[in-house]
Amino acid sequence: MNFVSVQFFSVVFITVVLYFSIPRKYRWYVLFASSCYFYAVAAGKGAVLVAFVTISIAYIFALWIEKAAGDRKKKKLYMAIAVILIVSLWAVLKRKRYVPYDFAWLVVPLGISYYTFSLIGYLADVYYRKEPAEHNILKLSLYTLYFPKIMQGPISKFRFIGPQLIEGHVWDYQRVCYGLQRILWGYFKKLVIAERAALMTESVFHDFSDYSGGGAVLIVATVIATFRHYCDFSGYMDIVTGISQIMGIELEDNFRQPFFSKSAAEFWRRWHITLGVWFKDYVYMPLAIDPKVIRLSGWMRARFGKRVGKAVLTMIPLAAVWLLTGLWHGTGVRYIVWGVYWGSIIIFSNVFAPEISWFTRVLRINTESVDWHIFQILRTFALFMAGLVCSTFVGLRELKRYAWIVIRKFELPQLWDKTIYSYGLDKNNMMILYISIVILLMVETEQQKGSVREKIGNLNAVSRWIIYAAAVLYVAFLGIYGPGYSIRDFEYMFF
Amino acid sequence: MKKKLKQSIAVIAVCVLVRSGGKLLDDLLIDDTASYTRLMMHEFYEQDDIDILMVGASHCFGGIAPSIVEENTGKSVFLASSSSQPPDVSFALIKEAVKFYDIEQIYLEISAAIAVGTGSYKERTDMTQVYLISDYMRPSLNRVSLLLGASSPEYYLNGFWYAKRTGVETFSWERVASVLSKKRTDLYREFGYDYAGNDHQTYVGNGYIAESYQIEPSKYYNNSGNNARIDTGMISKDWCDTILDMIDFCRKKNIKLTFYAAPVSNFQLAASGNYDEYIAYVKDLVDGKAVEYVDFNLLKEDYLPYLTTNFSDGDHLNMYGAEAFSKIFSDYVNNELPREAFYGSVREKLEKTEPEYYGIAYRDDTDGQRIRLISNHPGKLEYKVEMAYDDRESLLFQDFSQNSQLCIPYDQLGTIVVTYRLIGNGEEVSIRYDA
Repeated sequence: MNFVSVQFFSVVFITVVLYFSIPRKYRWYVLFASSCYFYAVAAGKGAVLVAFVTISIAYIFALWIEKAAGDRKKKKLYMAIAVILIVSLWAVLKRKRYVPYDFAWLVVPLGISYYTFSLIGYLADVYYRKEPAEHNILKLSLYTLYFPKIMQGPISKFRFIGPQLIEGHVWDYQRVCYGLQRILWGYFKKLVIAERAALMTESVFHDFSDYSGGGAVLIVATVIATFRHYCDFSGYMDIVTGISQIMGIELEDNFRQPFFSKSAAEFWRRWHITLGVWFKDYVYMPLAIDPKVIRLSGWMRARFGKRVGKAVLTMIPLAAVWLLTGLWHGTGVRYIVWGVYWGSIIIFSNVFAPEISWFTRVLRINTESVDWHIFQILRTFALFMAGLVCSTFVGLRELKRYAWIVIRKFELPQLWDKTIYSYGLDKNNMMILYISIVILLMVETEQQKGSVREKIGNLNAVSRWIIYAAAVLYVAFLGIYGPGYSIRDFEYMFF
Repeated sequence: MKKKLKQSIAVIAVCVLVRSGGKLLDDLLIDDTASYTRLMMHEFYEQDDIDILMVGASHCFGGIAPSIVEENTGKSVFLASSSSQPPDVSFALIKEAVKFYDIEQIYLEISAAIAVGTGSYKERTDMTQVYLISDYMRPSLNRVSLLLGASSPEYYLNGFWYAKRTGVETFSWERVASVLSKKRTDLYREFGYDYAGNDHQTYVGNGYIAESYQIEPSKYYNNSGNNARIDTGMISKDWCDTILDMIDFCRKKNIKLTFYAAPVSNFQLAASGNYDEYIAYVKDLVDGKAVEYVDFNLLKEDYLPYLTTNFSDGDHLNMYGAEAFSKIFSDYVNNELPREAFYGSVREKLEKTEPEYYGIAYRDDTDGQRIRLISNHPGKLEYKVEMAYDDRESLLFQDFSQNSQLCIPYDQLGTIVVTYRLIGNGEEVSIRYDA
């Protein structure tokens, strides 16, 4: 279901109206019904069936794990079986081309990675007794299928989102306003920036072998592709967070101004935050405290010294996390390369932190200066861009061609001799894109300092109204949608 | 309570500001300074009364001179028609007229081209024919209903917000300045201009557009896309449903509804070859619905003499044709046109007319231009076809023969010279077509 469709707006509108129209204790039924309807329409009935099979497995095994609280072996067995069943289902559907059986009748259900991870997290929390098992399967289903987050997350923990979904929230004008503002901000990112940027990036990268421009245009296209990637994903998050906020449900933030990060590690604490938290809680931490890893670290410490032993303790969980993060995004060499790329950077900066620090001291770099911070931000942005290039291209040949064009055929004048306008965006659209990206960065700069919505809220009424109206007009008028345009699916929808 | 009032004021204020901003963009970006439907719709709402409402496409606004019909019938006449007006738009105009005026009779022009070309409303990709009227309709549920029913949802916003249609690609400050300067003139503000599309067309008033261009005899040279056989299988369910809805609506409102077809050229009728099938289709559709369907293409020459010079092209009457037809139409309104004035079919009409060569219907194909020589009696005429060039000798494509279909390769296309004569003892007549 397209997020810019009458159908989607109708589902949201009717859900909100019904939600606040019935007694509070029944409100979660409205969410459950609309979530089932939304998922059935967006993903198909087959996908709903797959989701309910997964939910049933999690539901039954969570109850058994809870029952077997005193029997550690039994509990572990249940947990292992549940995870194997859920992951197998996910793997078979998601990677069905690798399975020696024709599963053509089954489609990859939308958002399968998101709810699979959510349910594994739920099982793990029950296993570690961080929360009790849910005894009502409908409530667990609502947690899994809740329509704003089913397609792209956030990957919320049951104990965080579950009670909010079940609790009937009251109408709050201020909260509704905040929700609407957040939705508008999301559409700004998606329709004005991401969809516009897509016109250029698809023109350049879709058939890269046909690309005839120079390196300068290619670099601009890559920068634009980076903003597209961010605005597409975070725009979705803003829209679904806003919808939830209207109904009093607070979803976790998945992004916190990632392009202001000064290091790769910080970037990943600000980008797709809930996925990072999931990997930290359910992969990194269990591995870091795993007795075998600790024993290996101790052995390495004894043989090669304290620093190596400590490095092993960091490297093994990080390597596992990044390999799995790559695989989570997709199979194929490019995703593994992407995972290895980020894993290497983060492990390197972690393990060699003392050397990096020594290096900056030798070069007499003031690490507290604004210039250095700007350099760090640009460096992190460049690293992200490079990672995006890695995951954009299927083969090494294309990567080589990219590098060759950038190094050997830069052709800077193409940026002002109108050549750049022959790649999907004319002059007017390019200007709007630049202006919108500047607006985005300005707002995110302010968000670093505090809530922009509160700042606007503190203005006098007329100024506020003018800002809101101007924002609505900006998005509605300059958004890329409507006849002649086919709104692209959100990029993360199929992960 | 005070808090709720404040909140309501805030919501309303933002909505008003958004609407005003949208309207401002419309004014800055939309150039409708030469729109004839703007004039027509302004007049439509300003009438003292309308007795006879005529709706339809160009056959309506260019085919009837309201002043002549008013003079002959004593009734006020208004043509609420527009280019290629589809039936849903006609129906919306009928509903609009009924709201404001005491309508006695409605005449809906149902030309074959519109019937065949309307398609499914929800699959429309070109909304121009809808916007031509909806843009100037007063805000009402009728307008909302027209716009929501006329297309798939992705067009909804464009229907209500004109500026969104232009896209930013065409934006320039020069264009904005030009639009603003044109909109500031008295001609625009007071609906004083009469431009209606091209230099030959003038907006006269009451919805009538006078077309001064005249076709020369036998000089039709039309793309046969407009002259092909009428495929009644292409007539959409939406078209039929709207026609039936109109009948139902007028019956409930006690208004006399008549469907009519304005005359097209004999060239057009002969080129299509199956116009009678369309007549039969419409008659079948309205059969038993207590409405009249009158096709003026069946008129005998004694009542409306056939003159090529009464047409601006194969399909449309010009102002001279409109004047002549308006008199006949008045007679029909006054019930003074006898049944005997009409032939039983177009086939009969063409057969009972003296053999005549009308012109060329052509179609561009991969291997060349395919031409058809159109006449009412193909078996009684023979043709010689030559190609004349400025820089080389003429080329004979066909000596006198009854064959009326040829393919001319593009590299040999020049000035087509068709010489025709009656088989046997006919006088030879040559017609030149500058391609």
